[in-house]
Amino acid sequence: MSPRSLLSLILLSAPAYGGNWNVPVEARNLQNPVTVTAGTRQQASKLFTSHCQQCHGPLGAGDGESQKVSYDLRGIVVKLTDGELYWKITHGVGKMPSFAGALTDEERWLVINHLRSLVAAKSGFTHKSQN
Amino acid sequence: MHVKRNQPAAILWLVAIATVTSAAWAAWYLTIGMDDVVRLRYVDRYFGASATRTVDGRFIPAKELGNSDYCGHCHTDIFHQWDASTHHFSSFNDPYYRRVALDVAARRGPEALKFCAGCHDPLPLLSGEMPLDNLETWSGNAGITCLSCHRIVELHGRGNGGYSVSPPTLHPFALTDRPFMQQAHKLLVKLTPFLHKKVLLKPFYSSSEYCVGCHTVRMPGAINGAAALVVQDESSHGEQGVPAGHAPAQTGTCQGCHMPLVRSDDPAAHDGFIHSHRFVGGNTAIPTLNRDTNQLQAAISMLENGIVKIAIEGVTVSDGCDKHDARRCERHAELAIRISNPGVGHAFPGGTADSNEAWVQIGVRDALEATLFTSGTATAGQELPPGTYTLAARYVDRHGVRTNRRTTSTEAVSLEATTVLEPKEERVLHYNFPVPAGTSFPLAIEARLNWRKFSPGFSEWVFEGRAVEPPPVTLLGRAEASFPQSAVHQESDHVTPITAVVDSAVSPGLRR
Repeated sequence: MSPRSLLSLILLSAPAYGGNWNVPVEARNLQNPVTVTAGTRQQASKLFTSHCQQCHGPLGAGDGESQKVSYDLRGIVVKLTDGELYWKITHGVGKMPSFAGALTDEERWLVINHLRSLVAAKSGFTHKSQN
Repeated sequence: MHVKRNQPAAILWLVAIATVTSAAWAAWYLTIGMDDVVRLRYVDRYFGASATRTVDGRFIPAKELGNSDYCGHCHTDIFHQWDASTHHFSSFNDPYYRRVALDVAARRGPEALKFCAGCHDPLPLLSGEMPLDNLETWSGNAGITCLSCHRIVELHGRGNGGYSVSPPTLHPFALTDRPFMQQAHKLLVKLTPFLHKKVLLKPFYSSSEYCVGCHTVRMPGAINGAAALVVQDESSHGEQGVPAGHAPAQTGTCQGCHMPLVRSDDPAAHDGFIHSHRFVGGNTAIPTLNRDTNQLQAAISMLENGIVKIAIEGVTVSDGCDKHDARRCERHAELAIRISNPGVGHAFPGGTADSNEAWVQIGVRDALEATLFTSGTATAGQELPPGTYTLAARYVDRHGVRTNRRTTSTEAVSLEATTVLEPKEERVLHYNFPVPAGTSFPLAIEARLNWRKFSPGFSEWVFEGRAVEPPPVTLLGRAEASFPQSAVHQESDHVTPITAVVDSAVSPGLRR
C-alpha cells in the first residue's frame, strides 16, 4: 500500500467521533430499580418506539427512519452497565439529545430494560419476566 | 555539492508552501466547504418578544454553538461540572421548563416561546429553528451550551435575555467528526492559546451584569396577556454583595457564590483553581431527577452554608387569663422566631420565588415527649400544612386567583404579596399556642428553616401523575431551646411581653 493510500484510509475510515462519554464513577454504579415484568416490558417497548427508534431503528441496529446512526446499539449496550446507559440517556452527548425532560427517571430505566432485551433477542436469549 | 548547499532553502520552501496550502484549505473549509454552517440573514421580527440577538444579523447554526462535549476533550473538569448543571438542563431537557413551555405555547402560541428561549433554548432560537414543531431535537435539549455563554459579546438592557452572540471564530477542524482532524484542531488551539482565550473570554464575564442578562425577568404582555410584570429580579441586589464571613468566596458578584473557585488541573486553571461551572444554586430538583449525587450534594452544601439563619428570639409562658380575651384562661405560650438573610446577595428565595418553597417549621414538646405545638411539618413530597409561614412571592392571575404554578403558565398579572427576605433583612415571627395544665417542663423547642425546590403541587402538575422522586427537604438552619418551669410568668392580668429569652443554637449544616 502506498503512503498516499494509507493516509487516505486513515482519514476516511477513522470512526466518527463518538462524543465525550466519560461517565462519573458514581453514575456507573447506579442500580436499575425497575424490574422486568410483562407490563413493564410493554411500556418499555412503547417508550423505545416513540423516543429511540427513529434514529436507532426498531432493533437498535442503527437503521432509523429519520436519522440513521452509524453503529449497532446492541454492540454498545452489552459493554455498558445500567448506570452508564442511564447517565447517557439522561445527559445526551454528541448527536444524541438529552432525554431528561422527555423521560422520567423510571421511564429511562424502562428503556434500559428494553435495550437489554434487544441484546438478548439478538443473542438468542430471552428476558425472564417477574410477575 | 550544489544540491546539498540548497537543501535548507528547499525545506523552508516546502514548509512555506505546505503552510500556505493548509491555511487556504482551512479557509475554504470554514467558509465554503461546510454548507451546513452557512449563515442566513434574519429579519428582526423573527425574535419576537425575545431581547436576544446575533451581532451580525445572521442566524448561527446550532452545530456551531452546541459543541460542548468537544470543549470537554481538553476542559474535562469544566465540561463535567457544566454537564451536571442546571445550565445544561435548562431547555426541553428540564421537565419543569418543558411543561411550562408547552402550557405557554398552548395558551399564547409557539411564537411566544421565543421570549423564554433567549435564556432557556439559545441554540434553536439563534439558529432560526424556532418555533419548534418537535421538542425532541438535539438542539432543543442542548441547554445553555459552552459557546452560548462564551460567545456573548454584548449586553443590552438588564434581563430578559438582553445579549448579543457572535458566531464563534473557530480554528480549522473544530467541527470535524474525524479523530485525526480533531487532533490537528487540538494542536492548533494549543499552539495559539491566546487566540482561543481572546475569542472565548470577555472582561464582563466576571461581572454580575453578565448573569443578570438572564436572571432578571420582566414578563411581557405577550405572555401574560396584560401589562409587563417583573417575575424574577436578581439585578437590584447584586451590588450589595455579601458580608464577610458567610460564604467561602466573597467577591460581591454572582460568580463569587455561584461559581466559586475549586481545585482542578483543567488547562484553564490558574494556580490550580478554576471557577466551578456547576452554577450551584437552590435547584435540588434537577439533580434528584437525574440521580446525580455530586450535583445534589454541591447544591445542598451551598444551601447549608449558613446563608440564611433562624434563631429562637424568645419564649414566654404565662399563667392565667388574658384581659383582652376572657376565654383565654389557660396557660399559653408566645414564641418569637427570628429569620434573617445575612449571606445571600439577593432576595431569598431568589429565582422562581413563586414555585420554590422555603418555610419555617416549629416543634414544641414537653418533658414527656408530648407534642404541644407544631407548624410547617412536612417531608419530601408532602404539601405544607395550612398556617405554615413560607418565604415566597405570590402572584395572582387576571381573575385574582393566586397562582400555584410558574407565573408564565398561569398568566400572572400582579404580585399579590411577597415574603421573601431581602439581603441582610431580619424578620421576627410570633407563634402562640396553649400550654395545657399538667404539662411537664422543661419544654423543648425546635425551629427549622427548610428549603424545597418546587412545591409538590407544581411537581404534580408537571409530571401529570407519572411517578418521580420528590425533591428533598434541605435544612437551611436550625435552632433549639429549652424552657424551664421557673421561667413561667405568674402574672395573669396582662399579656406578658417576651422577656424569657433562652439560649438558642443555630446549627447550619445539619440535615434532616
